[in-house]
Amino acid sequence: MKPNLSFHISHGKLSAYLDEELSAKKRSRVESHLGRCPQCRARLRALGELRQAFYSLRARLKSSEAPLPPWSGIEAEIRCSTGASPLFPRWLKVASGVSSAAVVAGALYYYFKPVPPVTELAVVSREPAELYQYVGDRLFAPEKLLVGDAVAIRPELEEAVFPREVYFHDRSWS
Amino acid sequence: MARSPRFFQEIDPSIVRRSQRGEMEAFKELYLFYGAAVRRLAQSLLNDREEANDLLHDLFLRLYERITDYRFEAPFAAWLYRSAVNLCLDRLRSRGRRKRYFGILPATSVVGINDSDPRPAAEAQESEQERAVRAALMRVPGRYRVCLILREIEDCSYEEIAAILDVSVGTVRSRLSRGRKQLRKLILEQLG
Repeated sequence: MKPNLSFHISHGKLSAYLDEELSAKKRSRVESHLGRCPQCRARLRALGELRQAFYSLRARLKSSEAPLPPWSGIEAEIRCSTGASPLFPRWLKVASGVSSAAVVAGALYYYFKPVPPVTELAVVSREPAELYQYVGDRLFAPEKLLVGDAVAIRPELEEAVFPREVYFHDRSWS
Repeated sequence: MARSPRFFQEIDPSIVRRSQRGEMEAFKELYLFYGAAVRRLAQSLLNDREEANDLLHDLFLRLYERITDYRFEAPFAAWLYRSAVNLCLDRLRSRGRRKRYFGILPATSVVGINDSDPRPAAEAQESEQERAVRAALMRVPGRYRVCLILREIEDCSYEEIAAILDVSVGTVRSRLSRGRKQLRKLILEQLG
């Protein structure tokens, strides 16, 4: 039977054949094709020449190897570097970094949090006056006030209570 | 040619465990065991002996910080060489950027002999073909070059290359095939 030479071995397969990385079945198929196809034999030869060039490069690289730089240099640098300890695993470093960042962010928020705007201002006109402020159902302890004191009633405080006769508002009290 | 006895050889896992506990002696053992292979790989990839020494230094500093990340799921050699390959590829990319933005050709990208080379005589004897291979190799894209070097210089199997690069065996096969094709074309161009 005349061999079918209309197809050639792919470059990938030829390359794997050269590397002896084909299964026995594929290998024998490739060999059978190579036996009758001069073109594929030439391509394989070219790949073989490339490998030969690498052999001499590899031999030269290995024969001209200089001794390793002394370990002491690396060791000294490791000892000098701070925080570079495998005893302190990476996840722990990450966790401690994240928690430190959270603490700093919390502190910054506490100090720089925006003050809600004052919407009402009451000025004490008579003594004695005591300011009671409710937030929800909690009554805050009374605060002693003097005549002329300006009392900020902030929006987060739901209600400010003190005897009507002792204060006046900068706006109408309703 | 016989396989390099040290390249993909696994070190005793107890040494890795001792290194993870921070024992400096164990680190030294890792360095002595893998150092030469890592440097040879870096030298082939970067085509520069001095830079390869520098990379070896950086790799072991980094290893000291990150060895606790190793979970014994893959061979230690593959894990270590993967870090080395990634460092090399980073350096090659930064060379590319320097060249692109400043027009600076790194002295070592030209195949020849560096002044700092301790063995200039040996390299001077390099044949024209070897020079052509080295020069062409430096022009092949990094992902193909790594595969070619691991296969042709370090004599790794496809499976070992796949483990180092964390890709499939099929990908290794195709990268090797394409790399060889490009390399051959470039060598023929070089040799005229």
